Amino acid sequence: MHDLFTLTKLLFKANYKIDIHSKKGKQSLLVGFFVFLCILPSLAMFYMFFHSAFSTLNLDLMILQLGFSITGFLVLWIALFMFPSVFYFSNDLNHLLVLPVSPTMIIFAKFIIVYISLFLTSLFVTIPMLAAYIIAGANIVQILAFIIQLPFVTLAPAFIVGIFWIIVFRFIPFFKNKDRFNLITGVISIIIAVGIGAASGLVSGTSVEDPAILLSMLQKNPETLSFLTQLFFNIPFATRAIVNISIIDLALHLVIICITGGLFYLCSKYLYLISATNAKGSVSKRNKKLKTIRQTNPFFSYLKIDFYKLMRTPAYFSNCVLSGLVAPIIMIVVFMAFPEINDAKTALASIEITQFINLPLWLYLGGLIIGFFFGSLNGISATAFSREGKNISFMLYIPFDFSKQLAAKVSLGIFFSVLSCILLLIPVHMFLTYPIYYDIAYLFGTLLASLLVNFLALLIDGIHPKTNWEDETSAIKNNLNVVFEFLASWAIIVVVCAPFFLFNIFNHLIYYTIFVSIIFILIIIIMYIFGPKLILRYLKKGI
Amino acid sequence: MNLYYILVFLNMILWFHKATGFYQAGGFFMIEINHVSKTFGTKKAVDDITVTIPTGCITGFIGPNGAGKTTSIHMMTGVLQPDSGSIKLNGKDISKDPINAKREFGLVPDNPDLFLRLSGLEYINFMADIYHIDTATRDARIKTLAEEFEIKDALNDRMSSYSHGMRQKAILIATLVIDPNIWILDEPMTGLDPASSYLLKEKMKEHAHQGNTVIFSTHVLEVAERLCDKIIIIDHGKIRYDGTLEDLKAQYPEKESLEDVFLEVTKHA
Repeated sequence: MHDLFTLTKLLFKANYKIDIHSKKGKQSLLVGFFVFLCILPSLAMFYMFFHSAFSTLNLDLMILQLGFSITGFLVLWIALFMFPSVFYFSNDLNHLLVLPVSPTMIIFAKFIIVYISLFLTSLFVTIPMLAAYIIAGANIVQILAFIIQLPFVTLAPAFIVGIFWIIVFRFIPFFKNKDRFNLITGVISIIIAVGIGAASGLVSGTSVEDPAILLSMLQKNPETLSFLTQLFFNIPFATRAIVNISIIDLALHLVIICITGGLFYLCSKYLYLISATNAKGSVSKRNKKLKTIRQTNPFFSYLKIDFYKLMRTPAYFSNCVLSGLVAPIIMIVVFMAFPEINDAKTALASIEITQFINLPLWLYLGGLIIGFFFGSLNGISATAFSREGKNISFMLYIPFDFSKQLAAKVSLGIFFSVLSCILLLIPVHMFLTYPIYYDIAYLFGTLLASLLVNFLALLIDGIHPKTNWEDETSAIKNNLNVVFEFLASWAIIVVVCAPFFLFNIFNHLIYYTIFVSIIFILIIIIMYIFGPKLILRYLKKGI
Repeated sequence: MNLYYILVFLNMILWFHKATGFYQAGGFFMIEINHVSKTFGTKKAVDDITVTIPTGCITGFIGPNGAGKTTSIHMMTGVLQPDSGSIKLNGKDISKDPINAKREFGLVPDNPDLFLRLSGLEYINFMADIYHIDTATRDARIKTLAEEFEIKDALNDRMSSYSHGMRQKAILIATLVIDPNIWILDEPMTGLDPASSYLLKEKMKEHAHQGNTVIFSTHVLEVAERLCDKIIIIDHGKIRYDGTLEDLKAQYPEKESLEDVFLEVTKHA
């Protein structure tokens, strides 16, 4: 037990310790606080939902099962990605295995670390649910039973996921490649996000704040709830232990946890180590033939290398490239799933829209606004220097003009920003019928906005890059530069759109558009001329 | 009057030598560091150092941890801006003419974990593009060096699959392919197997013998002792010794090895 406690403490410090006195610690706290603020509305929504359900419907058992099932899905979702990272792809295993502790201790210490994250995540659902249950008039014994169940509800799914991955990694070598794993899980995350977006579009008219509708859906489709409780087979026992204050159900719940825990122990003892020590980043293909690579212009060579780094690093590909494209894709899917689209399309097809508005102008303006919003989603320019990490000095000692290096970096960001915006033309054309060459105006707008937002992002990251990281994901996650880029884009949108509401300039739209465009072009020119010198000065100071 | 014309004639010859680059041949200075200082906050990392590194020799740059070696190398290579003084590489000022000055050297950093997502071949060709090495030349050099360093079979693989030593080899090959006048090597032997280490030392000797410059930092003083013509010892940001290995040993005749001399020099610093 002493070994387990020591190991757990060590891993906890390595994974969770924040030095609140350091600049990085303060930044992490700030990011955490900001994230908490963003999540508060969701917490409130959960509370309102459960409060309405407990107060109006006398179905405590069903509501608790639903609540714990939501928790189970959340835990399952996070554990699916967290387990491999902690158990197979962390860099500490080789250091831990040489210590005089049993491998089983190492495994359980790592499990505790994963469990802490899962438990804290489950509280986002269970705490609002508990609060609602208390307000709805649960007695003290039921409340105590609820609190006792809190840590146990997430244990069984966590053990099941652990068993799943141990078996997969032991017998399916395909996933042992960390890059391949991260890429596949990144793509799956995107697909699920798109799927949820499409599903929310299909459930039209449903309000999640109205529990009666959701519950009536479940009552009409009891096999849905039955499926959920079969998937999370410990939940019926947990909920009956709370509602019926049943010691037997509590004991059965604990037995289930012991059984799943025991199976996890056996799998980890006999199957884990052999596959964990073989998991690696990339494998050698041993293609022996050295092909001749022709001399290329240094700018294109640099651009190509930057592109390869972006596309070949799963963390960057998922979080920068795919994340920037997922929003337009979700919109496309939602539009296609929207049942009334055909009716709207028919109605709009009969209207000659160019007779009512200056469509090219509005497309240009639309491109501008969309370019600022979607152009800042990918974070490629906002992490251009952060992604270099400790090798940032490479940019300073190679004999290649620094301005050209920046031009190559910003080109990537602009390319993907414009690509996101172009994808949005698909749903636009689904609604509106107009000559396709009008889209050139839209493209000009998106290009101008993408240039400005990406130059700005490059400047932000160049002045204060986050280069001290151990893992590539850390270069982009919790990187405030991405947040600043997004906030800056929104600020520009607000500033551009404010005159429409304050001064009613619709009659002078074209002049206003020209004026704003000239200002943007001037800002871009100033950043292009002075930006490299400013960034270089800050980079040299920081190394 | 005759003396006047003789002096004018001599000045013209000196100007001609400087202008055409004869100045740099055999015995002239490839790296000139003049009164360079660098401070980080309140700590003076490099304190008014003046060093000249000639052509045609291998110079060992040694010092304890935190002595200012890395800072000095960073200033030499343009990564850091000196607070004062100037640095010239083959007559080109690194601050005023950075691109041309940077073309004069190839750096092998102490950490070979660069561009791990690229294959070794992609990285080498990228460096060759930056230094404008034509296709035929780079192709021939890559094939030869890949055979010599026994890494030919792995060059098409991503550098993330390489061991530390293989990454070091790939970085070294890239520097040798571009073949600059000055080699700046920061702990180049770390991770290399004995055969590759021997090969690198031979190449360093050959490069210096051809009238070029090699400067390398190392903590392995036995290697420095066997390889270097000139030694620079830095400690607490100041140059403690700048001269030949023979002269250094002559100052401490009771000391048997460079290691003993080094410990003595830095003890009193």
